[in-house]
Amino acid sequence: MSSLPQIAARDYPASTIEHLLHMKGDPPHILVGLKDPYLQEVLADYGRLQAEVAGHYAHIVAAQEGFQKKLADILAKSAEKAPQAR
Amino acid sequence: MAHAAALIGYLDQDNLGIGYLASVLLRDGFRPIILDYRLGPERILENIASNRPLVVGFSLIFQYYTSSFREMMRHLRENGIECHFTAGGHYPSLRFRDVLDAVPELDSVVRFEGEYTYLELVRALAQRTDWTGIRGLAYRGGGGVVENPLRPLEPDLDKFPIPVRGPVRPESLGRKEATIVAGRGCLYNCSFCSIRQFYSAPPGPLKRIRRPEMVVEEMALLHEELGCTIFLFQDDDFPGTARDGQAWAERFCELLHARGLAGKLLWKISCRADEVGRERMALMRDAGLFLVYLGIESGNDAGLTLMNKHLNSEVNAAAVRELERLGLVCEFGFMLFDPLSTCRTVRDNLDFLDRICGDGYTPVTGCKMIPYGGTAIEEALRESHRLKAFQEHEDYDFLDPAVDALYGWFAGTFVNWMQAPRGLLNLSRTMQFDLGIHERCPALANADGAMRRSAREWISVANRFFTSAIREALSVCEAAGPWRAQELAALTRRVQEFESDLAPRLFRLIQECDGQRGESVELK
Repeated sequence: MSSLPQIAARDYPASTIEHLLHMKGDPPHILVGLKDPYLQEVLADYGRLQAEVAGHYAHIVAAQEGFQKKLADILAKSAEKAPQAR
Repeated sequence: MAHAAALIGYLDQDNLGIGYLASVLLRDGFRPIILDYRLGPERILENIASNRPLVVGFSLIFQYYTSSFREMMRHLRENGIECHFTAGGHYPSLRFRDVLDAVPELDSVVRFEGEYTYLELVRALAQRTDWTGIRGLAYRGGGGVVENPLRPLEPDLDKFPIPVRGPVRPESLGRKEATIVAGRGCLYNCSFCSIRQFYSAPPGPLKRIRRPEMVVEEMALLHEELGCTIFLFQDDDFPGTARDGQAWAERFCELLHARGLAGKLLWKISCRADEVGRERMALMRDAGLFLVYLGIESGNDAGLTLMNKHLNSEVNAAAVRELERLGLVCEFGFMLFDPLSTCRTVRDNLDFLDRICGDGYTPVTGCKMIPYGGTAIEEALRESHRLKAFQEHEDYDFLDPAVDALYGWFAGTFVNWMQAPRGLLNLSRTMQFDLGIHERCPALANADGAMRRSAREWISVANRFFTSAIREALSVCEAAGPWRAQELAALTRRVQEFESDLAPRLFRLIQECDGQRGESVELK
């Protein structure tokens, strides 16, 4: 029996999949895991998942960039008062 | 009998904001009454009812206290207190409309630096004259909110009398501590902080500095009359470490030496990491500086950019190492989570914490950036529609659900560690603080080597446990499987077991350290 939990393929994060794909000298539980039908499904759909994950992070990156732009505008306004000590 | 005016706020480590307002009232012949909010509604009601002040001023620093302060005001009103209620502090100054909307019991808001505005309000109420024209006030009127012109900042801080302080009690190792300020304001523009907004709205300079002569005079007075030997500077950015602060630092230290205070008093400051210069820090250390609180805030450059800190994580790490080389105690502030956190930035932050804390030199800490009212971060979150109502205040979700899951776990699991008086953070900091004092007492410095080694070792173990537990939780949250809840619960139990094991040991070590008080020992 696989020691990997039986979960839907979409629940594997990209890092886990990449880890499995690139693992050398696989420890026994991973070898067993590779025979797991769920993981086979993961591997088969790897390309699709990568695209999904990339889409997820693209969404985050876009949100980060938008936020940084707003913040920069706000900070520029508050920086208008010339610093003067004393 | 002089007219009374009450001031209510949190009085942690004194509350110098309230203390300055009180001293200005006192100088003008009024009778200030300072009450700790934590006395509770009944005792505060009893006090207000018996003293019958002209006005009650509520010191509301952050928006998170608004509803509990409102409850207090409602209780006072319902029990017959009819005098003028006003509020001041960072949050009401910047968000006076929100506060007046949320708290119908308030008659006015004192905006920004409040010493003269509050005094004029008290005078007007005492003389029964119209107060609505006083500069710096906001109040309800004409079907809306009236915002009077702002009052310029007092250019010379030394014109304010020395602040009123509560009773000075022995604290660390039987020594008496006092809080003090050497200046007000900050020239930087960090996105999470409201100091700049607070001092840039009214006319006047962003940062004002007291004369070193007056600061030393106040320290000498507190030492000679009340026996204080530990001074905690509350400045947001200590003038002696600022870029143009060399002359100030030299004069300040020279005066401490000249008055014979350098060997008797110890002091703590807060500053930025890029202000830690070896020579100036050494100069100040030799005049009594023993602890530096660094506003590190983030361990990754994306986070530091978001915070508008204008420095990088290498500068932060170098500052910590420099303080260690100088033999100074270091504490720091750190936001493990910020509005743009991803799993990667959290990992980078944990790696950074291992770098600076792994050896036990300073206790690890971390929190979520809070969107304080009036800050650039709050505004950007609001414009991005990311601020949501959580219980009594507004907060934000992270962009990555895995980080939300991690933060939810972190906040629940480490609440005791981070916030409880006997949590590991407080115990570790107390231990460091006490050992920092020991270090300066020749009679004790050599006697507690074993204690120092134990403390450092245990703090190191705690620090490394902290980062590894969060890393483990992060992996669980990233995987997002159905086993997540169970694994996180198991991790929480491990954290609790670790705390129950280490906290009593640290507490005993503090007691042992306290046993070697050295009250009569002259400092180095």
